[in-house]
Amino acid sequence: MIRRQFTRRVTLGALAGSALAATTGRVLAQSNDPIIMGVTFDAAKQASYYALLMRDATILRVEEINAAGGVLGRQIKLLLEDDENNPAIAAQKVEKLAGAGASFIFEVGSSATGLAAQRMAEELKIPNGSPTNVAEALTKPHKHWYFRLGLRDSIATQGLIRYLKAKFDNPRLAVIRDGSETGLSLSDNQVRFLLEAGFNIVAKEQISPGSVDVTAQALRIKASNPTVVLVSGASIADLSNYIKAHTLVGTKAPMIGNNLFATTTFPALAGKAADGFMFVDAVDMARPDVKAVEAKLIARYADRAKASTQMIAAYDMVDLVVDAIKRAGSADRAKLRDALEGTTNWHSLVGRGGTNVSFSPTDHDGITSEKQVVIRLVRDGQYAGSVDF
Amino acid sequence: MEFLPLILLSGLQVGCVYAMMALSYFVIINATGILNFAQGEWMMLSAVFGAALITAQLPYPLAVLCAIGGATLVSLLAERLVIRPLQGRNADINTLVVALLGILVVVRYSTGLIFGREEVRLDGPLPAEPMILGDSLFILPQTLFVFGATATVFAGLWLFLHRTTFGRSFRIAAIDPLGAQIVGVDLGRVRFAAFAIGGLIAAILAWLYGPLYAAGYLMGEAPGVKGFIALIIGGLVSPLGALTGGLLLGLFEVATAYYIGSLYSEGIAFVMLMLFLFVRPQGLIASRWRLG
Repeated sequence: MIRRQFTRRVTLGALAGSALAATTGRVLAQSNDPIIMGVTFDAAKQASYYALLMRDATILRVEEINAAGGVLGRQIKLLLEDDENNPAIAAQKVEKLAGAGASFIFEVGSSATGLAAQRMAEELKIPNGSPTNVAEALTKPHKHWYFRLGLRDSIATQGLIRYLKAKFDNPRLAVIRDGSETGLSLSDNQVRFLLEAGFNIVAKEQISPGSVDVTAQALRIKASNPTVVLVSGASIADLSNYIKAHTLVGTKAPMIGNNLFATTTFPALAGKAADGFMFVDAVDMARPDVKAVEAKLIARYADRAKASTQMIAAYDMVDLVVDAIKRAGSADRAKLRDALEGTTNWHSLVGRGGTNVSFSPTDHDGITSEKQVVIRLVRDGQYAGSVDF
Repeated sequence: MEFLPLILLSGLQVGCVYAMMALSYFVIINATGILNFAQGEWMMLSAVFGAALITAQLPYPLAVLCAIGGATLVSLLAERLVIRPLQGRNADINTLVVALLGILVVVRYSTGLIFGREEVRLDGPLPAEPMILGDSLFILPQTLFVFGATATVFAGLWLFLHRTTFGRSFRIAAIDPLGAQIVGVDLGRVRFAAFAIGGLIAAILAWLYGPLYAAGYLMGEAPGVKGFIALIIGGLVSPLGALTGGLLLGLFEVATAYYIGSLYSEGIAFVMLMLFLFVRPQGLIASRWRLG
C-alpha cells in the first residue's frame, strides 16, 4: 500500500516536473525562435519587374540585421509568397503567412494585390504594409493594421500640382497614358485630382498595350498645344514610345511622368528623347544616406539595383518595422501594431531630405505632405538627381 | 491633311507587324489545321535571346542569326516533342491547340524567370536617327527595314510555295491532306516544315517589332492577338489574306487614333473582328492560293 502511494507520488511528481520542464523549455524556445515576417510579391507577372527588386532589397536588409545579431536577440525569418499578381491568391497567401505565425507582412506586389492582402490581414489582425503601393484605398478610409511608407496617389499628385504651380502659370495639361489596367487606374486618379485642383486638361490620349507606333497620339497632343504633357501609367515600354514620338513630332512641352518610371531600363528604352524628362517619386537618390544604401544594394544585386527607388523604400520599410519591434519589446502582433502606430519622427530614406515618418491612431501614411514629394530628372540617358521647386 | 502621309506610314508600319504575325499563323494553320497561339512567344524568344546576346557582346549579325535560329529551334522542338507524339496518339485538333497554349504559358513565364522581367532595349540593324522628308514628314530607318523585310518574307514565301516542289506539296497538303497522302506527300514532313517556317517568320518579326518597342517576356501577347485578328480579316486561305488583313488593321487602328481619338482605337481591332465574323467570315481574300 505504502509502496503504491509512493509510486503514485513519484509518478505525479515526475509528471509535474516534466510539465514544468516542458513549459520552461517552451518559454525558452519561444524567446530564441526567429521572428517570422512574410513577404507577398509578384514572381512572374506584370508587377514582377518592381516586386522582385523590392523582395530582394527586403531579403538583403533582413540578412544584414540577422548578421548583426538580429532584433531583441532573435533572428528574423522571412517567408516569401508569390501572389501571382492575383488579388484572390494574395489574400490566400496572407492567410498562409498568418498560419505560419508571421508578425508582419510586407506587401511588395501591385496595389491591386496589396488591397486584397490588406483586407485579409485586417481580418486576421496582422500588422502589414507596403513600401511603395500608391492606391488611395489602402489607407483611406483608415485601416487599423496597415502602414504605408511611400506615396499615396493623392499626395503624389499634390506634389505634382505643387511643382506645376511653382513653375507654370495656369498650364494647359495634356495626358498620355497606357491602356493597361494599372495604367488606366493610375491615370484616372491623377486626372481626377488635377481636375479637382482646377487644372485645364486639353487632351487625353491612350496607347494600346504593345503598340509599335504612337505617332497619331503624339500628333493629337501636339495639336492641343499643351504647356505640359503628363505621361501617366504603368507600361514603361509603351510610354517610352510616346516619349520618342513626342520628340519626333516636335512638341516642345516638357513631359512629367508618374512614379513608376524609376526602373533601371527606362532611360535606355526612351533613349535621347528622355533628356529632360521628369517624374514624380518618393525617394531622392541624391541624398547621401540614400546613396549609401544604393551602394550596398548594387554590391549585392549589381546594375539592377541602380537608382531603384523601390529597393530603397523596401529596405527602409524593414528598418521601420524592426524599430517598432524594438520599441514594443516583442514581436507580438498587437504590440507591434501599437508600436508602429506610435512611430514618431522616424528618420526615413523615403521623401525629400529631412523627411521624418510619424504615424498616429488616425493616419498610417508615412508621407503626408506634398512637400516631401520628389521630382526626379533624366539627363544624358541617366537619372540625374531631383528638381528644386 | 497635313499629316496624312505620316499617318499612312505609321499605319503601314503597324500593319506590316500584324501581317507578319498573321503570316506565321497562316503557314501552320494551312499545313496542319492547327491554330498555334504560341507564335507570339517565338517572336518574344528571338527578341529576348537577341537582347541577351547583344549584351553579352556578341557581334550584332551573329546575335541576330543565333536569336532567330534559337527561336525557330524552339518552335521545331514544340512540334517534335509535343505535337508529333500527340498526333501519334490520334489527339484531336482541340487537344493540340490546348497543348500549344500550355507551351505558350511555359515559354513565356520561364523566359521571364531566366532572362528577367524588365523590358529592355533591342537595337535594330539600322541607325535610330529619323530621316526628315519635309516639315511634317519623317521616317525612321527601322520603318524602312520593316517595309523591306515584310516584302522580302512575303515574296520569299510566295516563291517557296510556287517555285519549289516541296512548296507545291505544301499547298496540296493544305488543300486536300488525304489526296496529298495518296500522291505521296509526307504530311509529317510538311507539318515539320510548317512549324519551321512559321517559327522562322515569327523569329524574324522580333527584329522588326522589338527595336520599335522593347524586348521582354510579355511582348508576344499584343502582336499575337492582333496578328490573329488580321488573319481572320484577311482570310485564312492565302498569304495575301494575311498581308491585306494586317495592313488594313494597322491603317484602321492608326487612322482611328488620329482622326477619332486614341481612346477609341483600342477597340477597333475587336470591332473589325466581330464585323468580319458576322458579315464575311471567310475574310477578304476567300480564294485559296489564287494570288498567294
